[in-house]
Amino acid sequence: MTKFGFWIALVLLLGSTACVDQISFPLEKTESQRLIVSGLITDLEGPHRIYLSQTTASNRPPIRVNGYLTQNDAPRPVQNARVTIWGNGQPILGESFQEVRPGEYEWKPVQRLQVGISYFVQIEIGGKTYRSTPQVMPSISGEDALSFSFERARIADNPDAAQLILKTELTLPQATGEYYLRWAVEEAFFWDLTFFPNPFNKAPPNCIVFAYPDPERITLVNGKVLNRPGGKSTQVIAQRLVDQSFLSRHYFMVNQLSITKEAYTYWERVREVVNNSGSVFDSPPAAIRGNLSNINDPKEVVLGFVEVAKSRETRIFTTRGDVPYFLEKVCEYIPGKRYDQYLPTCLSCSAFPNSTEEYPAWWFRD
Amino acid sequence: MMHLLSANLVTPSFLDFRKIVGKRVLLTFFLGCLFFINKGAAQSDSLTYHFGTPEGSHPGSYVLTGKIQSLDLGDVLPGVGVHVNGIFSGVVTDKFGYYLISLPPGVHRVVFRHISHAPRITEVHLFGNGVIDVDLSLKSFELDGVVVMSDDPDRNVRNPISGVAKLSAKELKAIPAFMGEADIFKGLQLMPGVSSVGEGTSGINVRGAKTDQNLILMNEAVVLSSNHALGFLSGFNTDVTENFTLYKGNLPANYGGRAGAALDISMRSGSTEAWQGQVGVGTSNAKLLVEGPLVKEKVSVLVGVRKSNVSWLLRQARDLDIQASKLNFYDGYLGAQWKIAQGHSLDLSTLVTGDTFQFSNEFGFDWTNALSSLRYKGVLGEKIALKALVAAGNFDNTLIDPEGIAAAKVSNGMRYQQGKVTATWADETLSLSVGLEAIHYQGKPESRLPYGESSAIQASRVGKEKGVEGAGFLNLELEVSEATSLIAGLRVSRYAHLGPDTLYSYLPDGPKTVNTVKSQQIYDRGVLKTYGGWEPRLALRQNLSSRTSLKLSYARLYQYIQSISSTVGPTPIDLWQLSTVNIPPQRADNFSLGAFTNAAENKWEYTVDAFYRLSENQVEYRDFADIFLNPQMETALVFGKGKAYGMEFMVKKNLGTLTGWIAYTYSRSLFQSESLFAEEQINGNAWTPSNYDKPHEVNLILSRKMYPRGLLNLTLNYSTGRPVSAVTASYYLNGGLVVPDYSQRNQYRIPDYFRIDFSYTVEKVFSKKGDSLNFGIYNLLGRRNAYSVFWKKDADSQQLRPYRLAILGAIFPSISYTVQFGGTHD
Repeated sequence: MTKFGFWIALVLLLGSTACVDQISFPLEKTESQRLIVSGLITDLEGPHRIYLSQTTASNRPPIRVNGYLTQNDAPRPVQNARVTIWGNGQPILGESFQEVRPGEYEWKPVQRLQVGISYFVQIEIGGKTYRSTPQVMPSISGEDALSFSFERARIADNPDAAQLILKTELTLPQATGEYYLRWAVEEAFFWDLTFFPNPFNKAPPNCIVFAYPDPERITLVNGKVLNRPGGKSTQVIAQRLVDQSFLSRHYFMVNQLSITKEAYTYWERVREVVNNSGSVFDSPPAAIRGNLSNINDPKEVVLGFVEVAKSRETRIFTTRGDVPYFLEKVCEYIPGKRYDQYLPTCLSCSAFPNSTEEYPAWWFRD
Repeated sequence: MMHLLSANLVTPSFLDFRKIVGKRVLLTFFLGCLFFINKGAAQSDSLTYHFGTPEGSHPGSYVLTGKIQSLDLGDVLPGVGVHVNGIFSGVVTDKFGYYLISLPPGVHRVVFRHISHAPRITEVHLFGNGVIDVDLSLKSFELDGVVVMSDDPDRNVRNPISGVAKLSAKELKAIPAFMGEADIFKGLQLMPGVSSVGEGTSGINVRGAKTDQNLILMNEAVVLSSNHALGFLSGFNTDVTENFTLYKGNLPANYGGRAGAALDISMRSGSTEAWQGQVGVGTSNAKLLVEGPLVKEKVSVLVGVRKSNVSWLLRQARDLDIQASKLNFYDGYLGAQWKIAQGHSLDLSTLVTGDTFQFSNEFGFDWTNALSSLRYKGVLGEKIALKALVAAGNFDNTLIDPEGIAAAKVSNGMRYQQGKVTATWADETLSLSVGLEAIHYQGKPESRLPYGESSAIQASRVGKEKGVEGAGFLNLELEVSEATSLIAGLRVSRYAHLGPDTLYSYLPDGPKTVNTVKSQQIYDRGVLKTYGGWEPRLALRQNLSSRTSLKLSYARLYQYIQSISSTVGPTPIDLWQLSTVNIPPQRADNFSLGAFTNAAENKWEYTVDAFYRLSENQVEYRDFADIFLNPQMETALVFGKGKAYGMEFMVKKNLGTLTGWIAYTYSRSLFQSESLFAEEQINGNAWTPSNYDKPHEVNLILSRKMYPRGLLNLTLNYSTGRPVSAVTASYYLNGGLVVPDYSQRNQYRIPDYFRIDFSYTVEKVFSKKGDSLNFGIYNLLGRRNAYSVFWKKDADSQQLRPYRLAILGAIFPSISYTVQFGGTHD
């Protein structure tokens, strides 16, 4: 149970009516934008990705979107950076990240990265050079056996929401001592676009949507405090509201990452800050320093983290037959319903932030 | 400061007087006053006394003397005024309860008056030296008219020490309370200079000091944990407490060990006359009080227990998890007093408090605090008194975190033993106290054990420190002149950190972190480190007139034990940490200067009191401090200077049908770290507001007597919002996670706090023996006062938005009923 859930339960139990409501809170932005670096480098074949962006600031200029000048506080991608990977203190020659989308840098290594080797990332932007702290790729990891169940529970204002609970039966590593595990869960599902009648009876294109079902759930294991080598334990690693995305195959890709102690500490702090509910038992939140620094100006604040991890990937999927609830087809064609009355996501796959018309190679393999 | 008085003299004691007039009973003797030879055998139950015979020649005056005690409290009564023939003689009983007055021979009408007790009227035929010992009875609440007055009419002007706030249990019960249960800490928060971090946190902040900088004493025994769950109620049942005295920074020399304030709670003694008690049921708890004589007029016992009754509320919930949950708080007090002889008594007190909370079969915590003390008080001579105390305390707490593979149960605690002896010599103008005090602390090992079958946690333990704190003190109270009074004191304290323990030393050119350990040394026993120092105390009062005084106070205080909490405010599961090689003691210098004046014969009090405190080695926390099972606690802490200053203004109405006060406090509390290293700095070593820095606070309390047996109360509280760190930007991490980026610590403030409470109490509703019915509304406006502001993702925009958490964000009506039984009065 999260601390937030506990806190709400406690005040309910006390018979008091603890209230949580949105307020306006005037803030001063920082004077200058800060660089955000987020990346994960594993021993899988890739591609590995580094995301570069910048926070808002008081002197941030507006940008033009669809012909209009727009000003908001969302991070903005950082483009035209040179991102290289270094191993054991030396650049991996001929290998660098390529910008595939604004702020998104991708690299598919020729050879997989190896455990036991120390890696770091160097980023050059606008005459400045940033480096992540070297991290040795861990060698220890556990094994996951995934399962899911469907339950009804209270989520926000819905007292009886249908949800999928994704669990892993973790087999702990045989070793005791220092190892640290984190789970990253991604989902991919087929989305039924609206099939409008047409003379050629052409079906809408495939729409495979990628997303993160439960990003605020940060599941961590600290091997240093455990004492059951090879033991088994069941952990909830994601919860997902059941909706129309479960009408067809709905995949969950679970990445068990064996990370360094530095990365574990970072994610512990992120978990604490992200789940902060302002309760009596919460620690005062603070800015989280990552593992990147400007080599010429160590005092410059750089946000984010570049992880070097050993990865084990497993997948599980649901089909419509697994879902014990009625699922409404929100994109079903209804004669007489106007085109503009359909949700944008029913009309075009590109309405989703991350989607493709191509099935991943593993879609039908499992 | 407030007492309920009767303007109607038809009290139970007056009825007794009418019954016993004309009877002649031997008076109890006056011990130790040798030159009053046995000239008169005055009758205690008779209100007419004869000393000598009128025939023959007589000197110009005779001496009338005696001792005044409280029948109900079982203790001497200082400040009882002696009125002769309708005029106040100027004589009052001293701190030992004795009076002495010279009168010409003749028949005199002598009345003994005290604010909170019914007066005793006597007719004295004084033709020889005489002794009259009197027992006064407490006044009943059932009054025709109500006046609220200081326990001494002008104590606020006369007392040399500024920043002293006093409340009796009776006054406390008149203040509207959460769930109808009167509470000492909630009552104190209506005083100027006293606040808290917010609803839901334990403890109080006095003049900008941390909660662990308060010395809390029960009958002079140290109390470590004093609040039930989330600070809604303290562990002190007001039915068994007599009064509370809060020293806001300027402590007499007999108090020490904390750098901020001292709260001295006096517990009641049981009745020595007859068995009696009361039982009460309210919205939040049920309680029972029984008291009576084991040996009449010799040995009495008092037992008070209180237990929450919210379980019925849990069972009404539809959620099965809530139905299966537990929430209990309880406290019990046992007091026994043995009057060994006249002027000698032995008191045994035991207090047990605790909370248990468990949500279904998941997260939970529990804590218990037990304290026992044995105290001797004796008057050894006309001017000498002796007090001695031994006490033992034990504090345990357990936290259960059942989540996942690392489900664990974490326990810690502290055990301590205390001894104190004080001898006092006093006459009319001079009082000298000397004493010794020692406390032996034994931290219990902190342990983490697996919880549940699925837990793979490795059991682990971290040893905790042991230490001894000792002090010698000397306190001099001198009436320099009629207009000037002085209290000068000196306390010398020493602290020793004892083995066994492991001492870590760190690389000199870097911060103290787990990665910069140079060496560690294990000690099996012995003294590992000592600290100590001189603690001068000074209080000076200069009367500008009979009703106006200026007061100046200074106190230096050392603190060798601190409460460690990585949360915004204190919680019941905080750790207690002793000073070590790497955690030096705190030291504070407290100054205050105030002007006090009364007007219209003490009907009105006006107070302006300024304070300033400088602290060294004050403790704050690093970002994301890891305090549990941390053998190197210094790596989680930041040390620095503290600074608190402000001014308190109060206007108080003491007399009349409508009474109360309004107080405004301006108070700042700031901290500055001093390290050269970023890991040990807060906000780059800039002065930073502390978590309990609230610059402005206004408290208003109004009480109105509603004839014939009701009392209406209204309180209003406003304060500036406390400091908070805020989200100035956000960013995404791989995984679609929105992460907030926070500002520097405490650079913003949550919305201001405002609350109005109301209560109405009626006595003798159903039972003539004595009962009371209380209706209350806490948070009359239902205002959603923010406890905190936090950020969470907005579902639509995926951006972080600010939200307010209001802990008590609704109107809280309450009703409680208490009925008395037994006793000797109808």
